[in-house]
Amino acid sequence: MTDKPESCDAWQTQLSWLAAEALPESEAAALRQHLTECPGCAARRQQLVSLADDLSRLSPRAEELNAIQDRLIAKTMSAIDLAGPSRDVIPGRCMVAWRWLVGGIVATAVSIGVLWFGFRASETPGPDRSVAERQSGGGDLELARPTLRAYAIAFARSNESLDSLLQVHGEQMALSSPGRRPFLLEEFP
Amino acid sequence: MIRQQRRMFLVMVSVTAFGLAEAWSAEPGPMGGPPAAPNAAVIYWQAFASLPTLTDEERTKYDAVTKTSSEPLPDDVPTLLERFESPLNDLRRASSVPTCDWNLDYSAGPGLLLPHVAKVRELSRAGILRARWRFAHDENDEALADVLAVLKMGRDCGRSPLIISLLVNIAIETNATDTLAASLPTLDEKQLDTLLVRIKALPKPASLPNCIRTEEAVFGGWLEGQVAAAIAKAADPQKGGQLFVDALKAVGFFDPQAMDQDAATKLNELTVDDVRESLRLLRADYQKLIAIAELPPTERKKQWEEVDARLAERKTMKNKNDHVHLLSTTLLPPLSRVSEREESFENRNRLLDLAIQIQRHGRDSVTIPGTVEYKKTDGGFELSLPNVENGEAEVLKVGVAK
Repeated sequence: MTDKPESCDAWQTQLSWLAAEALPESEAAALRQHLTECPGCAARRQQLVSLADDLSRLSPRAEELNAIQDRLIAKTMSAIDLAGPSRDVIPGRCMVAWRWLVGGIVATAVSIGVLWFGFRASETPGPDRSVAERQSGGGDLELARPTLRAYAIAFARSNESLDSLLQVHGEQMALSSPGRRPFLLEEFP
Repeated sequence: MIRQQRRMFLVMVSVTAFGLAEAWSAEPGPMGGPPAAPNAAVIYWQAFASLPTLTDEERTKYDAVTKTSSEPLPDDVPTLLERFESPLNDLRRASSVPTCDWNLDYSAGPGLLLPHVAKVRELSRAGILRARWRFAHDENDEALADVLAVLKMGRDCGRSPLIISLLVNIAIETNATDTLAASLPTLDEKQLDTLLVRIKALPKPASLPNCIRTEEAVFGGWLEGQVAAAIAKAADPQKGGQLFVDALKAVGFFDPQAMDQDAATKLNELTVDDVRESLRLLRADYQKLIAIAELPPTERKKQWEEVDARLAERKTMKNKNDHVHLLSTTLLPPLSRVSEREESFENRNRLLDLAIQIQRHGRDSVTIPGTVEYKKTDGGFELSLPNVENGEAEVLKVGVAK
């Protein structure tokens, strides 16, 4: 092994994202380079890929989380009318955002799997999502979070948009967008 | 050496023990430890945490019965209310705790999390529904306690000096006062007296000028910090355009891809000094808005119209000056709409106060201001007062039409 153990630790989060096929290409290239030099991480990646496949096939919880996310995002987007004409100039943004979302859920499941198998949790921050989201348009997901920014944007559109957004957030707490520090992972009971 | 360490250890233990004894001797908490300062926000969060996840069928029913405040309630409302029993108990518990601190992290700038705001609105709907049911079934004392708890929660939300908090409080109070006014004729003298006292004792919401001041700090102050950090790293002081775009995108209000090519080119020509100037203009515009919000409603309307027209003109981005004002045109909230709601809210509270007094002492014993119109109705009476800013009359309907 050419790397010190500490530098392997620094790759663990990205490894989960790579296994879920949700790591930005700019970061994936560097990680792939590391994998060619580090058999330990390469083996771990293989385990994670296999685990991700198993989880996505077997875990009803992942599907449940998907459904919750689907409902919330769909309701939020419909509430604040994101499908308006100004957004049509950027085709495919939502699709990319959805890919991030689904990838994020699988990556979360993979991370849980990592803990399950007794790997030491990495304390390094996740990928730089701000850059990735700017590229993918994933910033729209910000509106699913109960922030001052989200409410100000909704109110700037209309009183009704604000009311709808509050209604959605009131019924179901916003879930975290992938790669961000989780706000709340679960619905309230 | 060992003796020294042992002595040091004994001193530390003594100091700790003395400190704990002092704290515990003041007034013991329920478990014998130091007392915690009561904070209604903590109780509200317990209520939010136990809000039920309704089934689709329940949600449809709930939305239908909470949509209006005047329609008769169906017989199965108690089944629905049972689901809210725990959060509503907490709501009532919080109503007797004067202090409410949501511990908001204003340093987060536009990313400031306000998870309580939507939950406050959601819980208020359940509280008002239960009050309506209780009023309809002659449980007036309990119904009043529910409405007052909802009003207190709305005000607790509106105490945070943020426009969104203010707007949510106004929406909650509008629904709560509709319910209250509809049932005023069923209250006895003692209940009316208590109601008047309790309403006057409610905490005051933040004023609009204070909300604007806070938003200036949260948006303007936060952005200044971000821009200052970016300027410190900028290699070329002539290239402020990208820095400007990054700053706006960081706030989250701006989609440069939606700009036309000409506007985007002009934006790229801005220098770092232009960005600094834009920040200065943003601050100055916030100050103008604060000054307008402090005017009486009769003088505000024209000024808001002028501000709206000026910002709309600058949004066309015809020249460099418009670009330098981009922070203002992007970030400043539509305050004329907030101001209209605030005036409407204040007028409604005046009408409610007057309505309680009329109900308590009779129409002839109360002096009704000349601007207020009194009208007898089938189920009670109606008070109206013109709102200067939106040009519509604020109407409070007392009693339910038979």
